[in-house]
Amino acid sequence: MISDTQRTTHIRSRVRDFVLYIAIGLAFVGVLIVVAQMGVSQDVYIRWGGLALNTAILFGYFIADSRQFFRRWQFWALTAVLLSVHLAGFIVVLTHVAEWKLLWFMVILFEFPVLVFFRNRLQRSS
Amino acid sequence: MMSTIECTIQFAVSRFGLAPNNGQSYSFVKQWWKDVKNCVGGVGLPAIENALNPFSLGIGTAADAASSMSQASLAGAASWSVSQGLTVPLRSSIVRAGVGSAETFGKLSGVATMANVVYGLGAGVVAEWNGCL
Repeated sequence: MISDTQRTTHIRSRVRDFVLYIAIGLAFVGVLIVVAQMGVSQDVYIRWGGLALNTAILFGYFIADSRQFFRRWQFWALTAVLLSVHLAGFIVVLTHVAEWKLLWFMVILFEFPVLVFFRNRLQRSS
Repeated sequence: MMSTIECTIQFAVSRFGLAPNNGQSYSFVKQWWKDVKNCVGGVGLPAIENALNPFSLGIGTAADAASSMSQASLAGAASWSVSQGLTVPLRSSIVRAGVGSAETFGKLSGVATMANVVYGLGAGVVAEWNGCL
């Protein structure tokens, strides 16, 4: 049986979540309008915006998954090196291919096990 | 013969009194609807389709591949525990790392897929802004 206090707290948290969803949606549309007004082409939006988005998601998850390494400078050095290699590779590819589709960035997912592999080697070497 | 949309607009006009005597508001609504239809159908949807419809790798394919890798990670952890004769597999740090990686990888693949779909819809907004407004 749910008490009135629990129900009120639940409703409040749901309302807060919905307000947050709407705010994030409006902020996203606002950013899109600014991007459009700046005259950013569709190709630039897909290639470089997509790279920024997917890189942020990949490395965001990798860093969030590596809390126990935060105090070790080797981890941050490794992350910086891996990020540089990742960006360098994609910059070379994106500047040389004639066509690039947004969902092709999903190949970035396959980098995650590689990042974890190198991070775990760091753990074993210590 | 009037289309359904035209009937709906005419109903709204007559019911809510949107039209003045000369019917300018009716023309405005009709023109507005025509613009929306042309903009969304002619500019926005093709841009979204172009962003989200690659001919070699679809959303389903990518999600399947991610799911397979996630399962492969779990299978690797399981086979390691068997080969080492571990009676309590989760005591092994390697097994824990494999299982932890699979879980995070699963979450990552879901978030990345959804984020790319939303970003692809954004391509439609940018195209409409540039092409219609």
